Amino acid sequence: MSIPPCLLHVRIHNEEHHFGVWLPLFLAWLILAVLLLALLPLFILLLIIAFPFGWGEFMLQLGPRLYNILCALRGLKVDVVKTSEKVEILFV
Amino acid sequence: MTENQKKILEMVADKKITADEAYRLLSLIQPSGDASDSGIKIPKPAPKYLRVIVDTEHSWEHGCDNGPVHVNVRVPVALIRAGVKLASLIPPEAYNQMDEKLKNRGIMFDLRNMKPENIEELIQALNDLEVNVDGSAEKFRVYTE
Repeated sequence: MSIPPCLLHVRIHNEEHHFGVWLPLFLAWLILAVLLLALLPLFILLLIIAFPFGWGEFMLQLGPRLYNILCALRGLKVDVVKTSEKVEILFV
Repeated sequence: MTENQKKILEMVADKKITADEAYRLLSLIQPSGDASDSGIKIPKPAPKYLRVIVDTEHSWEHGCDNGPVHVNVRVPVALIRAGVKLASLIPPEAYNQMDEKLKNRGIMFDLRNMKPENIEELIQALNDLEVNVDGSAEKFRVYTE
């Protein structure tokens, strides 16, 4: 089973500063999970309303597809170097 | 199986040579055990990442030149796969609007042709892809790894 990235590593170098920070993304996912759980009854209600209009399947599939996108972010790396500045972002 | 290998096996069958001799002969024909010699094509492993590298000599911000910029992005292929699957959810009306906008910008690309069932074929095809664009002030490179 694939899981979303747990950490986000951001490194910034410039003439004055040089630092790196590991952001605990898993905490954000935990908060998001609790929020989604709280909104679940509202989602079910919306789903019941949306089905006759043909949007039900779209709404049902949207969640898992977005989750797949989140999981696929693992390994994404962006490096930007501009003269004396460098920014690195890595999803781990 | 090559002609030489067949001949050696025939010689073993006719008891002209022993199994040990046949083994030695076969190892001489195929010294490294390379499958490509015997006509078997080993498929390349599926790419894991799409690498996009952009080098520009000038970056303009608020009207002034900020010098060269180097951008290196490593995109997981899984993200492309997930993106295409998500795009398949887009309603047809939205597709029409997107096509129109793309055409207005001079991009003749029909997003409806990107189907999830074709994505594996597309990813395999990316294996052989390498794009190098060398402009006077910009360099652009896309490849898989």
